[in-house]
Amino acid sequence: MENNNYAVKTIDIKRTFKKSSNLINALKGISLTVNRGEFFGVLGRNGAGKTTFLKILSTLLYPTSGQAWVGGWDVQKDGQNIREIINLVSGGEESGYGILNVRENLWMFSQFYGIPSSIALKRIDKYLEMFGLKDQAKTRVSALSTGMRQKMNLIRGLLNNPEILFLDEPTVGLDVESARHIRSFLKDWIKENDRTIILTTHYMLEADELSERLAIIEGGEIIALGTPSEFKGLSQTENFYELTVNNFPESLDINIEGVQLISKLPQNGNTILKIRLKEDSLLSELLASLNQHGTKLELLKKKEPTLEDAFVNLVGKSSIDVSGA
Amino acid sequence: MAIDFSSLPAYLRKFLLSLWAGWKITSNWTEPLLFMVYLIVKPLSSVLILIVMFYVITGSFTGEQLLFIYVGNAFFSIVRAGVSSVWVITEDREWFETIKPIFISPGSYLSHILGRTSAEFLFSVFSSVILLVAGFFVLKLPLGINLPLFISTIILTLIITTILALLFCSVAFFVGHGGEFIVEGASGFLYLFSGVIFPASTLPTFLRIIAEANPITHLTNFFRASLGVSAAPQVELWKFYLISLIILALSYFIFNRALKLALKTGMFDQKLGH
Amino acid sequence: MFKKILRELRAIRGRAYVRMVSIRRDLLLLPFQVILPVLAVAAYIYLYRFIGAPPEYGTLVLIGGVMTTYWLNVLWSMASQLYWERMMGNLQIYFLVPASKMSILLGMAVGSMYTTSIRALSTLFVGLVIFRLPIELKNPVAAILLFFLSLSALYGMGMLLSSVFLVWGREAWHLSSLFQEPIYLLSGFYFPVKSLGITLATVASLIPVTLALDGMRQVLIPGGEKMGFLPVWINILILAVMALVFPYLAYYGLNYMERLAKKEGRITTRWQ
Ligand SMILES: Nc1ncnc2c1ncn2[C@@H]1O[C@H](COP(=O)(O)OP(=O)(O)OP(=O)(O)O)[C@@H](O)[C@H]1O
Ligand SMILES: [Mg+2]
Repeated sequence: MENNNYAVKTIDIKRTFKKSSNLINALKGISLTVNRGEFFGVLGRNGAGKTTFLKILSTLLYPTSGQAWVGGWDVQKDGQNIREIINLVSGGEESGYGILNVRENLWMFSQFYGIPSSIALKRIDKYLEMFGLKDQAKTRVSALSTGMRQKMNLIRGLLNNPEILFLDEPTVGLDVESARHIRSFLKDWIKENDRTIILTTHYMLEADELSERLAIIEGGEIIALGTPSEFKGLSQTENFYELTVNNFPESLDINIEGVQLISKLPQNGNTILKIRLKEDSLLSELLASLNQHGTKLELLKKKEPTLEDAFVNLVGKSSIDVSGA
Repeated sequence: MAIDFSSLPAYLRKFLLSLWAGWKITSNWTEPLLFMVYLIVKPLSSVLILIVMFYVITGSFTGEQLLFIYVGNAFFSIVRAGVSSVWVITEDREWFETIKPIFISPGSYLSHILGRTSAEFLFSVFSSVILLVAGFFVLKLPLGINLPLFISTIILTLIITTILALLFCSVAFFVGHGGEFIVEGASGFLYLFSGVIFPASTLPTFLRIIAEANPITHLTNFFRASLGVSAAPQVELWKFYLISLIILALSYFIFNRALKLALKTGMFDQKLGH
Repeated sequence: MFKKILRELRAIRGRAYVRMVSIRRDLLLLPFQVILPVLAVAAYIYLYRFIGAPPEYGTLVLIGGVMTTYWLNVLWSMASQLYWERMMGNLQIYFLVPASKMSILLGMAVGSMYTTSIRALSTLFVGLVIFRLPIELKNPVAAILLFFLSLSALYGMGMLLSSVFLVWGREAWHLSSLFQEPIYLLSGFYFPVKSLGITLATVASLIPVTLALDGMRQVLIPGGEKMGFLPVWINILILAVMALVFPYLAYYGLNYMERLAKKEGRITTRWQ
């Protein structure tokens, strides 16, 4: 087996789709390695290519060109071997049969991995309890709420004890508490047996909390790769402020070198301005300028850099290597 | 295609839109040519089965009995189309998953079902006429036509079959992929108890009662009469209308109760696939 | 190796289970499922009575009716099933798991045969007990062989069709519907297939039901030998070949479909 040291390794993966007459380049050459035992996050805007990438890794789709190994196996040639050691859960997936109840559905899925019923049922009951679905064990799938359904999907993904778990927006539709619960569960789960998780998400806090490393995909390419703190460090070279002001003229352009208005939002008669400054010292100049236009400052907050700031900052810019390597 | 029903009342608008959608769904699946084949091949095959059965026993392609069978069967494609409305529910829920948006749009769900069914009716009348024309020219069946009786029979059939179908629709709310079973079951029931391919008198007494109470039996006979196959049936019309009215009231009542129950139990939009 | 076989067996059981419980869960449907084939059979039996046919023709219709239940099941619950599975979002999972797609389809077939047999038995009961149709077990071995071989061939064909239908998409549903009556006609569900003439009957013998009906009528109906088109042993032989070839073709069909799906990226996803 080649490249067995990595959980995932890809070399220049490309994928195009034919849609009527035009070609969509969903992935334009992704080269990436994910270590065994790593919690790896993938961020990107809608349509960036995240799902396509996970589908290729989970053998649901062939790459148009390039190579990829999962657990050391080639995704095109050794699909069977890969399927035995992975699982994939997608947010909002609707699998299973409405006529069966939750427990039966999960049992059925476990049979496709050949897990003996006694073991499978024990595992299912354990997870149902853990995910707070115990009371729904006998509920037909067709009668589940969106969040319950998603929890069931997650359990499905854990049934075969996968070495490598792909999670495509797994916390979609979950309430705050459940999502938090599942995040902490995943953090513990990955520690056993050197498991690997590759996660896509639109929740920056989730990515920040879970991922040891992150990749941002934009337009089918990786435009940034690094740890969450490296990403945040990237935005730390600049300073973010949130100003609540009164009487801000609609047409006012802030025209100061090194000061950038990121957004303005009206709120209760005031306006909230998000500002990026090259240096802190520019603040006094900004305030003076606002004062000149009759704008009064109500509240001033310095914002700690977040992954979201980094993300917004990066997407739309060209390729940046945040790890500095 | 630009159509604007926006100034019509909600019920009518929904009916017409569903009629239009039903037409598109049924007719537009590949090419028009294939669709024509579809319209002709199915009914033609089922009538050929009957002709071969007749031939195997009698060794001929003529006779009063064949005429009876042939015309009854041609008529039945209209009835079958009406019953197929049951499928609309299954299709909306399990297939297109449009049952929710359709239900919450203005106008009743019933007008949607009626709209979709009417599209099927249009096709079925067409294929029924094709069968009759083929019978006239190919099998040289001695057919005449009493146009007013013919048309009024068809219109009455549309109305009464639709009403009957609502009874079966009431069941379709509560079963998963079973739509096709209900369609087949309902049309099988009517095939047996409407004097379509054999006179109701062939049935044993206790079954004959069902056939005689069934308004479709009389409509089948009217249809035959309108084509000069038999004399007009001696039905006491008031009985016929009374039964039809009772069925109308019953169907409407049961359908609405079933719809309410489906909504109450949450089964209305639950996919059950297996 | 042993572990793998066990896994495939479990996969078969897992998928069959869904079908088997469905008959208990969709209770409202049960009367329809049970009565449905009986109604059509009864109608054709009365038609034969109306035109003065001898009672054996009732048995002929009955055997046709029993086989119809399986045929309809193959057409509606096997051939179009992968398509439904895609709509339900299960197809993607079937591609994701290590169990063979063949096992999953086989599970579907086993579950279907079970539920359909309940329907077939009720039809048989009505025919023999209520209509008191004449039947004669002339050659039980041949009858059993014909029945089981035809089921294997039929469901094998259903498994093959399911890949074909999946690739063709929604049109396939219409094809199912389009072929229903023509096949009733060609296979001679309600009359001896030999009355179609040698050419048509030969063409029709490409369909497993035709052979099964032709053979079973000869060994089960008093005087049924007269109705036969091919000698019984030839029916058995061809069915045996079909029972092997169809599942084999189904296997290739599935692989082809899977490769196509992964290459074009349009089959596993819903609504293309
Ligand atoms: N099966 C397919 N056929 C055609 N085009 C596809 C297919 N799957 C994905 N695409 C296209 O490929 C591109 C990438 O899609 P993908 O689903 O990977 O995005 P994503 O990053 O997962 O987005 P989201 O955040 O919305 O889930 C999109 O332009 C999409 O339209
Ligand atoms: Mg996605």
